[in-house]
Amino acid sequence: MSAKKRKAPTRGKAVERITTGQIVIYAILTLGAIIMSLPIVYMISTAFKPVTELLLYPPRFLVRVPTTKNFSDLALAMTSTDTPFIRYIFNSAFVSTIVVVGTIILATLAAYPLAKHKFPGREFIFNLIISALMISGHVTMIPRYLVIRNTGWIDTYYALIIPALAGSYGLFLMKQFIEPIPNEMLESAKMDGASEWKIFTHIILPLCKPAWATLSIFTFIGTWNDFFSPLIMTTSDSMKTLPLAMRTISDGQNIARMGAAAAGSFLTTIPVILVFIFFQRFVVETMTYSGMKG
Amino acid sequence: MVTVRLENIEKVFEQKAPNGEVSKVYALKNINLTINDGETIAVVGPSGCGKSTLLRVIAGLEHSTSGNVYFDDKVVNEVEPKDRGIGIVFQNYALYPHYKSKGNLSFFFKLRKVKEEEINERVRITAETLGVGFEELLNRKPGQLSGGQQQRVALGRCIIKEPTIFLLDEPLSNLDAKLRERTRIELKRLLKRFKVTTFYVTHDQVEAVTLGDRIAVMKSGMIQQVAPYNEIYKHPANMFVANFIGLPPMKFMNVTLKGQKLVGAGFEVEISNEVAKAIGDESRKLALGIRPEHVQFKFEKEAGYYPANIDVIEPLPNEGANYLFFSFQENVETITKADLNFDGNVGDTIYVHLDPAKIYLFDADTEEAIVTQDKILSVANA
Repeated sequence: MSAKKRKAPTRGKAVERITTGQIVIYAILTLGAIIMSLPIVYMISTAFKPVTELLLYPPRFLVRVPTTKNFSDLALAMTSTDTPFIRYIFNSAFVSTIVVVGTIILATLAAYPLAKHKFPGREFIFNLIISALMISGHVTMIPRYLVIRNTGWIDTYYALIIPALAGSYGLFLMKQFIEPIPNEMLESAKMDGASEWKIFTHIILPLCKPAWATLSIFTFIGTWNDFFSPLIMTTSDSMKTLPLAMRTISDGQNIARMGAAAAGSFLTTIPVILVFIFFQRFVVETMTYSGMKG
Repeated sequence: MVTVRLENIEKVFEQKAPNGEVSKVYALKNINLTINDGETIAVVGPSGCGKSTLLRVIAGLEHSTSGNVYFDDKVVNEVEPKDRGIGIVFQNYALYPHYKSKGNLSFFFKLRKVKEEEINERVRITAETLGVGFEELLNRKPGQLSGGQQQRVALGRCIIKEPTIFLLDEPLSNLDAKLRERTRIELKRLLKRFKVTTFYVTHDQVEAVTLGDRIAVMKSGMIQQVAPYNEIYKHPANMFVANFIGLPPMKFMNVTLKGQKLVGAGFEVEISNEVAKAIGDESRKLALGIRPEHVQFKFEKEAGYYPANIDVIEPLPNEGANYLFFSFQENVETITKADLNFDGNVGDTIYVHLDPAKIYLFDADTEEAIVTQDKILSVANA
């Protein structure tokens, strides 16, 4: 914001010297960016491939004769299922939204005392939660399934939402974000007469917004793309989420379905990309914000 | 307004050694201090001496292990910080970054559900008090303000609630030198105008002298001396205070008593009967200190003048003087003041006389003062 004011009165752009080091760095970064984007390009390209090109061996990277047939196949496959396809979209959107909102609320509530209050066992609790980050989700899958089954939540939204809320990543991120907020700021609020709750709602929460953006992206992408949990936690067709439904479509040895699956995975990715584009400018803010002290 | 009285305040931390032994670490030890109604006490000391901890104890942000804090005659140990009537300014200002300056000022009243018109009126009065240009800051967020502007908003947030006690924790130390000077004077004007009991923590002597009616010097959690600046400068209670107060700091030379004389390495000072009596035993280890302005020197040898070498010459046009850092035989540096047009060079020999009526004598073991200039502070029990 102050950059505008600081601009020198002279017109024009400073002529910067381009060093060899910069060229090398840019070359490496560009190469990296290209490599990273290859799968997405391949996915989009595949979604438009006709059957002949889909079955080509060795596979061709880019489509030569693009077609939209895969999409109409997908539409056909959707209408031929017993459960309306919109139900899967709803399931995915509903579960992801609740998990994102719930994670933000729980992570922030839990992170504040861990970051800013001294109480016996604080370190222990935090370390315990963080050590959960090291355990792969697949290891806990069976015990998690048993717990859910004994609770009687199999094939309900609870099974998809509640375990996902207990992620330790969110807590870790929020704690790291809240910690650098100067204690004096909270003490000033205390001197002004704010209760612990008021400090949380009026000082901590507004400052947490950039961190929420980061957390939202990661949580949303994770939940939206999650294939494994719905696979083992749901049994009926109507509880399936998009990734699982896609799998059902591409299942069966039908060749035509393969194109529909490619089109399907392209379409499922769109919300994720949109969410990312929407939130990513706040993510940059998270980085700059956490550098601000006092 | 109120009188703040601290009675036997101690703050103890328990430290566990690797061998399991628990030792006590004193952050504050045996603090007794009264800040009179409307008075400003400037607390100085090196970092880690406990001055900020003491401020936080008065604020109620931290609890002392033992001892009492009185506001007038009331013990406030258990009173919540918000109910103590305190206005505080932190070193980093601690403004709420998501509120505009006005929001920062009015947060106190918003929490108390004060009517919007009244808040506006208070903000207006505060802006008037803080003078020209303050109004323009009100609609900007702290991130858009310069350090000096943030400092003013922090001050505004402190005074708008009409506190009965100001607690200022190094409020100027984040400003650049020029701004710090200007703000110091502004602050002085404010303190004089409000006549609020003030506890001012700083590590800067000049600030302490300008703003403090009295100065408290702290070291290792203990108050070393409390007095007006002149008193502390003239009659420091011990070597620490003598060295800490005064620019450049006082240097010390080892001396011993021989009859009516103090003998050091390469110099002697004749002293009076009373001083000799105060010292008592000739075996006592003594440290002699002297302020630069009380050191006399000449270029020719004369009785009572002893040869010394100039090590460094520091010109200080502001003070209209050169400081000469010199040493006698031993390499213990002492400082004297010379005219700005002093034409000696480094390495030159000068002849130095230490004025017996202006010397400071300390017990080198206890570091307590025995004689400060013309005042005998302690007499040896012979």
